[in-house]
Amino acid sequence: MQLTRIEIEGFGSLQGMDLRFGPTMNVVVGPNEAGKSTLQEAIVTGLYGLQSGDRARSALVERADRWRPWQGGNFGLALEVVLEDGTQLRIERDLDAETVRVFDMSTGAELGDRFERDASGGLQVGRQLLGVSRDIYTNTACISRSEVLRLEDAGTIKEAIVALADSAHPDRTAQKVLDRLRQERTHRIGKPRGRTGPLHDLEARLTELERQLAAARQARAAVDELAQKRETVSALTEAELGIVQTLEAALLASRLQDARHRLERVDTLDHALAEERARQEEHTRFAMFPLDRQAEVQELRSHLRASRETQADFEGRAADTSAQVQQLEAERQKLDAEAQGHETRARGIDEAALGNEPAVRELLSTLNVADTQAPEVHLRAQAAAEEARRIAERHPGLIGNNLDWPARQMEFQRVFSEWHERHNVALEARRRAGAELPPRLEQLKHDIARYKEVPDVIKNGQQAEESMRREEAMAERARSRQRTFLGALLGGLLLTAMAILVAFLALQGGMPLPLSGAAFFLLGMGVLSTGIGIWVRGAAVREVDRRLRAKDEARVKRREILQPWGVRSSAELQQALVEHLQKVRYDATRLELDRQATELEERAQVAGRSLRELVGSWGLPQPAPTEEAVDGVAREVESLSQDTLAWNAASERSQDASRAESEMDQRRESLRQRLHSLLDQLGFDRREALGAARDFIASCEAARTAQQVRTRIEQLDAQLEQLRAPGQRSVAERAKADDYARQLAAVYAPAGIAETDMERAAQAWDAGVGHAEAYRASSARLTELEGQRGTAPNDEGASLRQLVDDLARQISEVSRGVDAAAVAEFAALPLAELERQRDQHRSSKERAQEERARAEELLNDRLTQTGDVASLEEEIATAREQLQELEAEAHAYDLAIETLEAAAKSVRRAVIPRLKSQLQGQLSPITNGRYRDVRIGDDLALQVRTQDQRTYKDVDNLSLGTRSLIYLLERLALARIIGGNAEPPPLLLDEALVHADRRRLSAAMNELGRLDHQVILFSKDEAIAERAEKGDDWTIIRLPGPALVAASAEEARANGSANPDQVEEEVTT
Amino acid sequence: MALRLLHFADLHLDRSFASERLYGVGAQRRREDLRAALQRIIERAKAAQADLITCGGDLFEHDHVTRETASFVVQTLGDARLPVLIAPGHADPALPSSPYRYLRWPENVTVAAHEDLRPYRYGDVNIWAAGFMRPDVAEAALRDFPRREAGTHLLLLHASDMSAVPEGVTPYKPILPAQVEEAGFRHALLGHYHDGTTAESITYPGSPEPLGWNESGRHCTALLTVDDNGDLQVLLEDINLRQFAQETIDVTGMTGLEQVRDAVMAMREERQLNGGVIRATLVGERDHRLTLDPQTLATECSDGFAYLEFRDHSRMSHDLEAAAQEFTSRGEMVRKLVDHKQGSRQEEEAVGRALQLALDAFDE
Repeated sequence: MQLTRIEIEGFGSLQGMDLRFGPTMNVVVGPNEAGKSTLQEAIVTGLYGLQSGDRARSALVERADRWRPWQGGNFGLALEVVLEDGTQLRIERDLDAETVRVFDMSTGAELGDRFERDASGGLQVGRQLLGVSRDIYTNTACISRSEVLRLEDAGTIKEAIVALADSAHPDRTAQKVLDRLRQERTHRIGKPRGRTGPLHDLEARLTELERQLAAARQARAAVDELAQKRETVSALTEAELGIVQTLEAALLASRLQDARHRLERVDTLDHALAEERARQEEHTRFAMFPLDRQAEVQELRSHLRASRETQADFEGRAADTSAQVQQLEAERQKLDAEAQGHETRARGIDEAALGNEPAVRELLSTLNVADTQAPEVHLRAQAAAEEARRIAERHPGLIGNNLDWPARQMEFQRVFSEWHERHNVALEARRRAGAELPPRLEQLKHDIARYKEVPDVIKNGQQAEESMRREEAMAERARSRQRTFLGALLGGLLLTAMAILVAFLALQGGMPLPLSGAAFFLLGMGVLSTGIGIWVRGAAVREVDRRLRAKDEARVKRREILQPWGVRSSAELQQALVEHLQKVRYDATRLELDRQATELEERAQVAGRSLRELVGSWGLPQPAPTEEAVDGVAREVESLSQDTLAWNAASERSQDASRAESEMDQRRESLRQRLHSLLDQLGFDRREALGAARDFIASCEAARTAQQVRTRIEQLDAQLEQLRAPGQRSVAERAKADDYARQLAAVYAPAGIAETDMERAAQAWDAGVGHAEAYRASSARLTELEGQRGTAPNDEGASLRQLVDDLARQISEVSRGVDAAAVAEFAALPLAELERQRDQHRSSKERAQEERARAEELLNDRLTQTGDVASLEEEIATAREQLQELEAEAHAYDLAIETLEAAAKSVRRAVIPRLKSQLQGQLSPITNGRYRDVRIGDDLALQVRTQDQRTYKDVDNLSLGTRSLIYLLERLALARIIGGNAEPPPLLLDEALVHADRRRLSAAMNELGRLDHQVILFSKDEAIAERAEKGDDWTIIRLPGPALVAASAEEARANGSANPDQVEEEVTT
Repeated sequence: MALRLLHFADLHLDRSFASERLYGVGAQRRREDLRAALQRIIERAKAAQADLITCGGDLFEHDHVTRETASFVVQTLGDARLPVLIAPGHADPALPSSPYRYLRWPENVTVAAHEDLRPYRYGDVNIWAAGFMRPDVAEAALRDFPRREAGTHLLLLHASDMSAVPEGVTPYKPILPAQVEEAGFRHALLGHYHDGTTAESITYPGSPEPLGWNESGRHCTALLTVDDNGDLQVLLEDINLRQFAQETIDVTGMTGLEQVRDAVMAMREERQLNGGVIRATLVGERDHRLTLDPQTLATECSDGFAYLEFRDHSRMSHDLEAAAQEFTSRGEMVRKLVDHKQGSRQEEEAVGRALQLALDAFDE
């Protein structure tokens, strides 16, 4: 990229300035404070603006304050540039409003949307044009006087270069950054794998906190255990207390029950005595009743009752069965008649004939089934034949026995797939090949023809350039001779003067002859030397002029050779040739694609022909070679294939049904034959086989029914026999009963019972027996009760009642909250056992109470020691988080250090060969051919070597002038490397040649001229301007001094903005 | 009037704020806030002339509660001189080592230390309550509960309304509004969800003070009134003094602590964060002249906040894209680190931090 013009509305000390730059070499000359540095900053600002990409806004504000116009007015500028492709851009910046506009100067179109924007929304013009940030541009492509002056210290070159390669900044080396990172890591985290430092301390603290938390949790667990124990002991105490209460209640209940029993017994005895005496009085008149004959009476009454019951039973049963007997006899007669009827219908069927009945039934049934199925089979055969005919009619002449359409469809699919695939591939290939090939081909042929000359042109151009360099070198050598012989001339003059002086002294003082001779000899030598010096220097001056002319001629020749191609150097033409070859390669690729597409289209056509022929051979119309037509045929073939399959299936079904019908007829005939044969054997008429078979089956059924009826008649005879027996038994039992009645009447008479009715007599006897027995029992009971009453006092009942009342009251007091069921259960135990258990549980309860008190005391004590778990957890969480952060930070530091180390190594490996290749060619000219070889160490330290030396010498040991020039070139080489493949940036060099003497200055300026970059050299040294005036490529811009600028500005202000031209005239070349 | 009661829940006394990354004095002050909240609840109950105070569980945190706090609760509730009914929750289950079991509670305080629902009668109203006897109870609270027909029945429980489970909350004792109605309860006074809500049949008062950064809902007590006709009314009233908020402050363009402080004050006014518990994260591009020490900043800017902490996530401004295009060691390092930026989130963060450290070191 080249700067062509800058218009400064207002920027620092510069105001109303309009400068135009040359395409290659520019020198801006002006005294101190003329604004050279400001102009340099204005150029950078024009490209990048005030904002630096990675700096905060405050930096922008600072920069704006610094460069705001000193004299007031608008803060802005415009920069015009031309890009490598010839595009001319104008960048206008209003620095107050922080706006930028970019225009295409040839069209006037605004191009703002072609540039990306940074985070603050500003267009990244410089960044996009040059491919590097503002910082990198200023640190690499801009060299300031202060930076060059620093090189006076030995060793700084190496560090500055390393810093540039590391960070594109003159004093930030990767090593410094690594040292800083390591130092920070040690300070903030500790050394890697070290045993001291914040990380280690934090780990120790975390361990201690976790120990404290574990102890606190243990204490809490102990509290849990104690609380559990307390609960258990409490429950035990409560349980024991409940048991003791229950036992107390049970004890009282037991005593109460005992007292109640005693009271009840006393009351019962008194009551029983009184009752018993009253009862004895009621039975006194039966005291002499003959109780001794009671057993005899009971036996006779038993016999009598049994005989009567048996007699009644048989009589009842005889009465019950008389109706049944009559009914059975009638039924027997009816069955007899029925059997005779069945025997008549059986028509003499015997057991042997009955044995053949199942065979006749089966034959008859099978024959009936076959007759029923025959019409259905016939219909099925007809339907299948009809369906086959309908399918065949759909495709007349195309469906039949020998037409295998499914196989044809597979064949069609194969050919179709092949055609389809080739067709699509051809279409795709054609699409890739594109349609605009023919015109491009013509252009390609023209380009190839034109570029055939290029190698010769490059060769001629290179020869011209070589000639220019050679003439320049010769001119330089002549200049050197010129200087050398100037010395000789001066020496000769001095010698001549001395000789004249000596000769004068000799003439005056009469010096000896030899001395005078020597003086004249010296005089002669001096004159001779002066003459030679004048002659040789003159020749050298002439040679310099001649060489410079020759160089100019070579330049003109180069221009003539290269100008038609629109380039300035053979290298550019070489680059253009490379690009041309790339285009040729691209077009060749497209040609190949076209050839492939054509080949594929031919293959698709062959496949299409095969497809059409195949379809035609089957009697179908041949399709056009389009996807739609071929798809139509594919559908037709598929339909034929499916219908063929359906026709085949229908034909097969029809054949199967016909076959089944024939088999059915044969079977029916066979069955009829077998039935005829069997009926014939049984003696039935065979002419009507079905009717005869049905008659035979009916006769068999009648014979079986007659047999069953006869069996039933035999069963009825046996039943009648049994029903007639009870009448005979009842007569015998009546006689026995009468005998027992007579014996009982003989016993009742002595007891005063004269009743003839045996039932009433028995009741009177039983009443007498009851009274007599009651009298005897009362007597015995009275004797027993009087024995039990014994000698007890008469008031025992009253004292027992008092005791019962007392016990009941105590129980009601004790039993509150006590389980009544448990009390009842315990109350069943003996009193002594109850008392033993109560004492035992009472002591258990007291022990449990003591234990609970101890557990509560311990629990209260432990509860005060549990500590603040929440705070500990929070502290641990804090420590863990801090630890995590520190570990992450340590990892980040390690990663940064490790990556930066690797990156520095990697970059140096890549930079060193490129740096060397660039410096190698420049070293000789700037050192006047003294050093030709350069070596670059891993730490980017430069060493140089003369042709005749074997060892390399550190650049730091060279003279300041040489060192600074080497540094300058190395800086510029690095600028190109760091900038990558973007547009070569304009180089802004502020007094960068301050250390160069005239010879080095010239060499350096020559080397700068050979660079591909536009160079703008800022200097106060008029010698540079003078040197530049001799070169064709140099544009010289002179800046007026500060007073003039100030005066002009004031004048401009006084005249308004209408008169800025005066200043422009001063500063514009 | 049949009954007026004040319901609260989820106070979580002696809570550990470790999970909220809140430590030291900040956490201790929050625990003191919780104690103060209990006193405010008692005062509000008295002012509202409530007949009863109910607590829906999680009154304290069993794992962290100290004897001193337990004594404070006993003392405070005893001094209320109002009947108090507590249904222990999953954070304060009535284990043997729980203060519910080992302390002697005042006569006016009843702890429903049983897992089955039992009625407690207050006036004409039956309040059915059950408590957690162990920390993890998954059983449905109203399973097989026979419907109550006659009288007014309320439910007091630490349970989870499964129709509205908040995100990130583990449900215990699942319950549904329909179950509450089917069981014959007029209303369920519940605890467990920390955001206060009330609906037709269920009320969660929320925690009286927010307990974490995500608790941005309401924090209330619920005043429930049952009148003589049996009509029921629930009124949620905010009770919290604090609010937790995580704010972001962009320090881009700031060059001094004064500007940061002004931004904090502006944030306080704009977001009405007076008395709040605030975590402010500093983001954006930090000026080279601005030194950010979170501790110093917190001291400088704490006026008007109950608690203020800073987290510095700001970064020095670096144009990574531009740096990656440099053919320098710095550019190569950036490219390598950017290429390395893959894998886990931690690794990505480490790479980002490494970039920041290295580029800062280049710039200093």
